Amino acid sequence: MPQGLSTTFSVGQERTADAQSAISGSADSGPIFEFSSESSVDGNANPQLGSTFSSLQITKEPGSVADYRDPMIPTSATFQPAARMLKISSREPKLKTRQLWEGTVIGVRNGGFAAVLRDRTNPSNPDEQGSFNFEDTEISADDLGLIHPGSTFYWIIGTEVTPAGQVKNVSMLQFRRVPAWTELRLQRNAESAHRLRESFQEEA
Amino acid sequence: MRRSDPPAVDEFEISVIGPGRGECVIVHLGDNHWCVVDSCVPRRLAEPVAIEYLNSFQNGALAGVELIVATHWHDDHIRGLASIVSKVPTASFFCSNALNTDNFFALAETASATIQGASGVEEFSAILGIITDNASTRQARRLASPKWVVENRSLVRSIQPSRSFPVTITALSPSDGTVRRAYQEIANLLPRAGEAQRRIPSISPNHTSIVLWIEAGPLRALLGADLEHTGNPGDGWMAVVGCHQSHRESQRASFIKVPHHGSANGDYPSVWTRMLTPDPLAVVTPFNAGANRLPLPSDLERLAGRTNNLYCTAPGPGKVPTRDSVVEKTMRSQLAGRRVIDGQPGHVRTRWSVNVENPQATVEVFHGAYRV
Amino acid sequence: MSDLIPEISGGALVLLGSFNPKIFQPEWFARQQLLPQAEADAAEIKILIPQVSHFETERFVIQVTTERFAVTSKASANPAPLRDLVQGTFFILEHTPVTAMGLNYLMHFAMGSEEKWHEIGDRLAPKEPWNQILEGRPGLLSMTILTQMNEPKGSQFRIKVEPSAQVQFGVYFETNEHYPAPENEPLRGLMGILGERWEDAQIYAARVVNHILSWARTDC
Repeated sequence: MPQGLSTTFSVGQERTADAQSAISGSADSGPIFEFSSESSVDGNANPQLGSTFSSLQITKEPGSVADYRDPMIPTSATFQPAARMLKISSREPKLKTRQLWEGTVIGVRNGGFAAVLRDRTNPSNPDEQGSFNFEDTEISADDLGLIHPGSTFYWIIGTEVTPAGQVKNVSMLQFRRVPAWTELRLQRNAESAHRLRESFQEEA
Repeated sequence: MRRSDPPAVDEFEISVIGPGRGECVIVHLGDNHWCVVDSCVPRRLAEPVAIEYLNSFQNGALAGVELIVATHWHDDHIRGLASIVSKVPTASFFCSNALNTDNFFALAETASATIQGASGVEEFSAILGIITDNASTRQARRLASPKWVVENRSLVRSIQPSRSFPVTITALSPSDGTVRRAYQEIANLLPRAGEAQRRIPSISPNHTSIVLWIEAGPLRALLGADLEHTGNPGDGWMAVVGCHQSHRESQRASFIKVPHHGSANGDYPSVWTRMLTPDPLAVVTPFNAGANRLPLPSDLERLAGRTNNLYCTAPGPGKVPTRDSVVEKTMRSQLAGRRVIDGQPGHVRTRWSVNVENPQATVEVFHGAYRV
Repeated sequence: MSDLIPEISGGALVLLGSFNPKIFQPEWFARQQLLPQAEADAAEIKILIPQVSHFETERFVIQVTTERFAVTSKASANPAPLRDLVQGTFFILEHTPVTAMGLNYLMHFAMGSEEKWHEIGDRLAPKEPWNQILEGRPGLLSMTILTQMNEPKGSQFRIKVEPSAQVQFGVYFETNEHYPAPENEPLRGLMGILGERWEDAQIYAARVVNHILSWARTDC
């Protein structure tokens, strides 16, 4: 599959000059054949599709609303050519996740906390348990305040390729950010719960 | 016998399955009628062990489940229970009366509304939802409401001539005092405005546990759930022994599902001297999570001193799966005290032919379960 | 044979509906405890006008118009927290009208050699028939397959395959699971699907992709 430098597609991967020169392996880029047309699949075939492959293509620094509309993609589409949004280029590090855990804090002590870990990379693997020490683990200052029994976090173990091309192993704990309960929400829960319980008492 | 060989119609069976986190007790009440007490799964995404076991008979046993009991709401004891409830809409669902409060229902509603997900309370919320759906579609009027259990409530009283043997199942706990105490503990778990959403922890001690007394013909069995000894006559095992003394003082069980994973907290010597025959058949399920793995070696020693017929459902935590070497190295450097907490679901099965003189137990072990 | 790990990967969540872009600013997300304050403070604002909000943080790119809400994880971040950000946002903005949702994953895989790279293309779109009718050296530029999912009604799965523009002798995949909003409680319904499907969608995408990649892996 030859990779060409001059293409006319407007969705999909970002093909900056930097990226192209970095990966081009064969000097002769043959003619490109468009195997399938995005617009014919999405827009014409089923205008009600509302497919989730929407494009918010940024081809230059945005200056107006019009820059956020791509004529090739119907506004009802919800797909996202996410690669272009990722600014994948030599300017940003790239993370290759080797293992993702989701942990639940089961106890907090001075200097660390214990957690049950659920394997998100291979969900059929059994849960594990262990303790983290603050001094051995990278937890951001913002996240330290989130550590309570019952709070959950991601533990990402992987490899990062820096913009300079260096490869380093990384391990990050990121606590899940969830909104706080509001008085209104809790009151609604309580009212709904009361109604449900009442219905059971009537039928018992 | 093979594990997939079903019991005879006049065989009383108690199967205890425990993978290292959680447990499930499956009881054959005769004539392919069943009772399921608690639930566990061998690993995430897997079928509850009760469904797997009953389906292995290939004789419609699952449809014969008459009652489902959640002895308490901790997630290690009811994982997968909602799935069983949904598959058997005709079964009655029993749970502790300590949960029959607006606060617990609010807790369940909160668990289902939170985006944190995955706790025992959420499983309970799912069960309540299934019950509500079933009632509204009139699939099973019997399932119109959970059945709330306190001490001395009868869950099953089956003495019809058409049944191969009479069966009764009675709850010995929770006591009224326990229920009142649990109300406050549950209220303390409710989140307050401004607090971030979190998974609701399984608190201990668990006073609300339902202990069951089963009579099948001449046989007696005691299922100890996770009840602990608190030292207070009004709750825990002291209350259970007191209740037993009041109503069935002379009766002794020849089988016990050891409470609270054989822990010292769950041990009350009077249970063994006043409620059990000498040398009863005792089955303990391990618990690999939490601060200490249970049973401790000292627990096994203590239990072995009480009976020569002690079985354990699983030999210990499962093997650590093989992972990428970079991952393993990182985990070793950052995670202390690492252990697998789900293991192979070992299975201890005990069967008795009820309608013979002096029925004797036949014990079989599967999948790593062993005699201590 | 173990699955390949992508060299570059990311995810994107897209919602269609009616939104007020003015709301979606870094400080709002920090105030709602959905982003760490430090990440919000360091956000790079691309545009903030009544019709469009577009900014980037260390981990996310957020773009909102009056009809579309899209959050994308960066290549430098794991996509797992995407779900939390979206669920949290619409837990708070619980009355937002929505019509559809898309769960997107993208992956760049290195095939290791030009030969294996061509094997993928040849398997997907054999060159021989085209060689017979076209001049030059025809090759696959892009292929998209679309299928309906069993449930819920109206849901679809789409996968796009292209030569990678970022990884030498690499193959790029984009997957999309599309869900129309249910009639009853549309936002709650979609958030429920998000909660249930986010992990499985990634696993399913990886399984499909690795199956395609196995066509070129001689060690299968």
